[in-house]
Amino acid sequence: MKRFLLLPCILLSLAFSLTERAAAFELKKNEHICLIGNALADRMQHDNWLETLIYAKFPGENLVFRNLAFAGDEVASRHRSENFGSPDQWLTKTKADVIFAFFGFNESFKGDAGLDAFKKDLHSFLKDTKGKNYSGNGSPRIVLFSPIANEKLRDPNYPDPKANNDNLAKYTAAMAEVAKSEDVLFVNLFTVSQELYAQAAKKGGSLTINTLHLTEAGNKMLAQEIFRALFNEKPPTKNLEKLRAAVADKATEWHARYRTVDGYNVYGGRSKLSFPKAGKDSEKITNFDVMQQEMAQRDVKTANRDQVIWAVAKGGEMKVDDSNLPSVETFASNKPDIHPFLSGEEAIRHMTVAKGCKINLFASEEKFPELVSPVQMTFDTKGRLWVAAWPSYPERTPTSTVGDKLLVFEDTNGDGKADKVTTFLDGLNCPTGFQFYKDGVLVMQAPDLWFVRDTDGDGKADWKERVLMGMDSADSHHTANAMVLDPGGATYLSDGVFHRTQVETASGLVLNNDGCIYRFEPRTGKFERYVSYGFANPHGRVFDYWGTDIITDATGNANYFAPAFSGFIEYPAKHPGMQEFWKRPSRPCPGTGILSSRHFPEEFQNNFLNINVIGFQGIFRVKVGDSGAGLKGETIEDNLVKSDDANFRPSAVNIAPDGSIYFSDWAKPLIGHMQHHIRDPNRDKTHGRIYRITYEGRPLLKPVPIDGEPIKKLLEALKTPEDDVRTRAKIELGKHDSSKVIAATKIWAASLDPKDKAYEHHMMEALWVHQWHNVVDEALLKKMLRSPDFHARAAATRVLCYWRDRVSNPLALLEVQAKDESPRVRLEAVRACSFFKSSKAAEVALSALEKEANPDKPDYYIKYCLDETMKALDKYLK
Amino acid sequence: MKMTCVRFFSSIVSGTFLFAAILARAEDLPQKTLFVPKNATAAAYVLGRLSNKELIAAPRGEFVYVALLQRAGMDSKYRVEAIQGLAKLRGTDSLSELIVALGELDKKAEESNPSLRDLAAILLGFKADELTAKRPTLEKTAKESRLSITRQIGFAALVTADGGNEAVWKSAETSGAQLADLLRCAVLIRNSVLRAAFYSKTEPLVHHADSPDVQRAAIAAISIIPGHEAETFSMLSGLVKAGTERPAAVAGLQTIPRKFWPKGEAESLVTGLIVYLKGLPVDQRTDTDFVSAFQLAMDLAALLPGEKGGALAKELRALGVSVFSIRTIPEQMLYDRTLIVVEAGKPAEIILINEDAMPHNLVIVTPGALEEIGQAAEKMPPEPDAQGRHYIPPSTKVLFATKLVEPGQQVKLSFTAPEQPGDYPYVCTFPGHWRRMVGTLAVVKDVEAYLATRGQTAEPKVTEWKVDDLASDLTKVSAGRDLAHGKELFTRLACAGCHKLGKEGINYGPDLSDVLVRFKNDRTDVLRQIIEPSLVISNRYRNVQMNLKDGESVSGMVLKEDATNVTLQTGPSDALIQTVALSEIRDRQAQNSSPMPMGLLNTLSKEEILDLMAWLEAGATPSHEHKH
Repeated sequence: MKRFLLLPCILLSLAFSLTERAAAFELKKNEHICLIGNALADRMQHDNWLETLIYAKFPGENLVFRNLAFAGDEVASRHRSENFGSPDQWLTKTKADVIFAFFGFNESFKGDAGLDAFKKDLHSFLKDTKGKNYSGNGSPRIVLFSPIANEKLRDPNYPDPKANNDNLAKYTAAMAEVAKSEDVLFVNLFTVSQELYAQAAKKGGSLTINTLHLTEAGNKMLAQEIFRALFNEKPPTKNLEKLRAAVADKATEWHARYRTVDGYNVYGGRSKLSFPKAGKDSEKITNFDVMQQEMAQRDVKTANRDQVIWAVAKGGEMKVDDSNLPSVETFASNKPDIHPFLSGEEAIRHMTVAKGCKINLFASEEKFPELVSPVQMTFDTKGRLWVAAWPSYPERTPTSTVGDKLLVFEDTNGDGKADKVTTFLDGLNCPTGFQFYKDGVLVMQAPDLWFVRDTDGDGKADWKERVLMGMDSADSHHTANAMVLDPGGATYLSDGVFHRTQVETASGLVLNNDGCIYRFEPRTGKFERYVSYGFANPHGRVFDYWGTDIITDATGNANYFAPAFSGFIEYPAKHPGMQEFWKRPSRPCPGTGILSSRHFPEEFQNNFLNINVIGFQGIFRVKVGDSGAGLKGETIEDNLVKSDDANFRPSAVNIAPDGSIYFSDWAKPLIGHMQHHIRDPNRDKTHGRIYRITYEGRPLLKPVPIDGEPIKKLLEALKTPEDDVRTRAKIELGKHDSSKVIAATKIWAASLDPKDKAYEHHMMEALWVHQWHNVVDEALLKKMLRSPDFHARAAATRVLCYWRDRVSNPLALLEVQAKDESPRVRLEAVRACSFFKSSKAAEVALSALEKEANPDKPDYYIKYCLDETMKALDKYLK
Repeated sequence: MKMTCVRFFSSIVSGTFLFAAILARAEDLPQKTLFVPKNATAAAYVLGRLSNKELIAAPRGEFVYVALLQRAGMDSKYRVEAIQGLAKLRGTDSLSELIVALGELDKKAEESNPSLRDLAAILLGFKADELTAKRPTLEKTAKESRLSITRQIGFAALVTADGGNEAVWKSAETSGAQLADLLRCAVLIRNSVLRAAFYSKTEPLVHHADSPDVQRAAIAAISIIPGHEAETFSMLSGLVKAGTERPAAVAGLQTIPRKFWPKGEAESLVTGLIVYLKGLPVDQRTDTDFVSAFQLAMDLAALLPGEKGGALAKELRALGVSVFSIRTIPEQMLYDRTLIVVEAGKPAEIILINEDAMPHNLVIVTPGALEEIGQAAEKMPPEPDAQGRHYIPPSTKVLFATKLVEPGQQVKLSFTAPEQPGDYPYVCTFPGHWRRMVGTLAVVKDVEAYLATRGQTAEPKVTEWKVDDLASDLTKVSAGRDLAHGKELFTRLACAGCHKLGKEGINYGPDLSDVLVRFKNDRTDVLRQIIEPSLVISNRYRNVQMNLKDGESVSGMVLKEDATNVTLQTGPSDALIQTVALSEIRDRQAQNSSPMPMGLLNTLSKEEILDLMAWLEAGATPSHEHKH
């Protein structure tokens, strides 16, 4: 206890000395303080410690805080979607008297080479800013904050921050130097944070979630140190939770305004779209007109919450009063002729299902009013169906009372109909995607990806952490979505056009413009661009039995064999147009699936399921076969399901634990984002259905127990032919201690019967479990690289790609794969080469041509991938 | 010519070949190393990624020579250098290497044609005795090659080697296919005596041959044989009139130099051609056969005396088709043109180019039927009709329709405009799109008159406005202007494509919201800036041309520059922002002309210019709009 008391004194002196200043920082009545900079500042608006402490010190000054930070910001680079507004415009709008600027973290990855440019940029930023008069009261006062250090975590899945801390130290020193020359107050958080980490480590704890982003507790400790540094005194220690709650309420409202989703329709290009107000030839109203009125409401709502903060800070009480909101114009639909809704059961009579199949209603809004606009579904390890419901599509209004939800449906009596629903998470805005991880769920809520858990077992979320920040949402209907898991445990997010994404990671900033699929390893925090391509709205996303993936761009329903264009490509380049693997009869496609279920007869096995919502309203079945290095799809005439009900809009399809097919119906007369006003009154907000398809006369599958099963049982479940069962078994294994899982997996793999027809796939699963737990087994990898089954060799080559930094001589291994008999394996090798930074990698990739029958006209996909790999390696060739 | 090398060329590493030895070179080029794999296949691939310029600059070696020899578009001096280089490296002779290359190119597909033609000229430049020494190989080339052009080259070489065609003809005439190749080789033969010697054997085949292919080959051959032009003209003219192998005969006639065209035969041939052209359906009137025959007829009509020729030319022009192209605008669900004006009853063609990410079509419907057809299409399943078209309601109100055009594709819609004048909507009938994606096909009796009344002429009245022409009228901007028209002009002249004005437009050029204030309320200065955009260019909006070390150049406004990179905007879209590493820039030149085009006001009347000026002044404060 004594030691604990001593600590703040040490920190106080340290922080104080690093501000190089004697007098305390002053804040005057009614001043506006704006935070700008990277994720360090961005995260402060969610924990709100610093603001709360300052309000506690200045209860009567009626201060106004506006957080203008964006994860990923650099002093000279603020990546925003079209027409977002410049930093100057926002500082003017928020009338900044005082600016807290947090820079230097993202810049630091440029190391020594970037130091001079950084100093120059910082210098001109400070000089320019001092010359401004945002508030009308004269030049703003700036406080410059250094980045915090990266924390060394005990979890071996996170990298050693040493190298980047060396850089951060240099960038911190550079900031101190520039701040001094510009006579700007500077606070060194780098040194302070290292002290805080050291203290936390002594107690066996840590203050960051991923080496770089602070936990809520970490943010509190840092806020206290900032307080000391600024005001030269001990931070208040009394209970400030009531004040912090008031600050949080304001911060949430401001975040919804400043970081509004759907920006391209609120202020960007499509905000200019106009629609007749009252029928043909009437006066027109734009998205901009209406959405800016909504923004004005949010401004007033934010200001109303400032009032509450001031009252609470003074020790009083105040209930927020939003009766003063300006109005928002209403107008008529440009599609008045909407088709009346059929009941969930009636709608079945309008559906035609594939021969032998039967359809039943699993759930609808009639029994479950929460079930509105389902956008993604997934079965959990307990066999319950999770559904992201999006009633507020395209996004919530400032006055909406119904939030979007994550729902959990159960069929407790096994009759194929839902009889119970639990709202796991409520009050969301555009939950475009989710996926399970360990004991919780990753939920996309732009601009951040949350990891959410239920720690007390009541079925409702009670713990949340932002694990990725900076996913843009300039167009909400293609914000990062279609989250799937690959067989090795990485998850993928599909992101569409107009977006300007910037995500901070331990290995530097990931930037992207427009369409892209990202790959995220929740266990290691690794996040990278997986396919950067001119996608419009990529929605569909599946991995097949062997881990080969298909990416679908909804707009044109363009379906791609993904391995060929998922090699490394440097920002901001995009891969060029690639051929589609299947000539689809119709578009657009909001989601895809793979029919992996022995409940259905042979001709259904592994059909690619492609959903369509205009013209053809139903689900296509596609027979997929190998063709050269890639795949080729053929439409099966007998569609899985189609309907002549105009409001039928299937949106997602999944295979249930009993082998039946579930699909959701978005159930809407209007679906277009562009054909109708964003706030068209005929955008339905009350319907949603889930249907179930079974095959008559064939028994359902016996669900494989997964939840709570021991490791050995879960490994046995990996022998199940159904893709979904194996994925859920690996999710469950993911909850267990990695060392135990890996030890058991090695025993399991050794016990497998090599004569088993599926032996190579089982062995591949053993390798994927290693990948899932981020544990390298070089011997197993090498065995699978030379498996007799080319699918396994290709899949193992993919694993090698992601282990390339941890196996010995990876290029020598790839050279063998590049000359494989199978074009698929050669393609994976060529793809993997793109991630290396050497001339040798180019030689390995080129050696794939030696196996081509006609090297002048190589396999289409190998040629495409090789061209892209050579582009990536161009600068290393010698 | 000065060559620079791209960063592709860097230092040597073991495992790759270094071609340091520079053999006889056509030009003095800087010596560089190049990444070339040891393996021929991989090397061909790597070299295949170089541009011709880069390949020319590449250090010489076996693979580079092969590429220089076979690559399309190479100057023949590099090809000659390559066969000499290969002969030296491989211990053979130049002619052998050339024949090897012919064989290798022949194995590839049709795309080898241009290179083969280049090599033919080099081959036929060899001396007859050198060619004779290779006769057996050349005979194989003539008779066993895959591509017709390679076989022709073989025959041309044999004729050159023999100094005449007697022996070759004898060996080829038993096979129709070989005879056709032999006839077609005439055009490759550069020796006029050898070429002329083809006449007597060719002439009968023009009239009659065992196969149409031989007849067509004979027509092609005879039209390039010198010394008999007038006879040939009459002969081919007869074929055209008779309708025998007409496209070949038309092509042949066009090959005959104009000076030999007999004026006396022109009129009857034009008349014959008009009959033929009239008979071609509208949708074939942009095909090569129509265009060639049309061109020939026009050229012939020009030979005729004024009135006669003029009348025929007019008759011909009436047969031509008005062609319009309409593009879809990416991510906007709009066509780029919303008005097309055609003459009633006349043939027209629309080329729909789909630049969007989703499929679109173009359907012309009867006046007033837009909504009905749009609604009907919305209810249709995506099943094609008998003509393979989707979402085309089976209604008599649909006049003409394209198929759905996939992204990046285009389609032609040929039709004869309705006889009844009116506004015929054109629309994309993909479900939902009809609400936005519409335009008007105005069918009128007199296109010129129609456009004149709309103030939009196909060939607008052009005035080279000077500041002084307008300065004295600028006081009229203050009151009584048609602001709505000014606003329309702001869009129509594409001002909004680069400038912001109030809420409208794009930030590429300077924001015009407070333009008058910035010019200190001097309207004349504002006008001057529009008429002479390059007079004063602020550095922020000045284009700078960056000449890169790889020989390319980029030109754009500098948005940002730091120690390593410069960020440029090359056009009015965020998509046109690019970053160039300072290390790649050789030098830079600030441009003295503004990116803003000159003459923007030249299609406007004075009143219109004043309306536009008024809108510029009012644009930032739309309340002015309501005053008028």
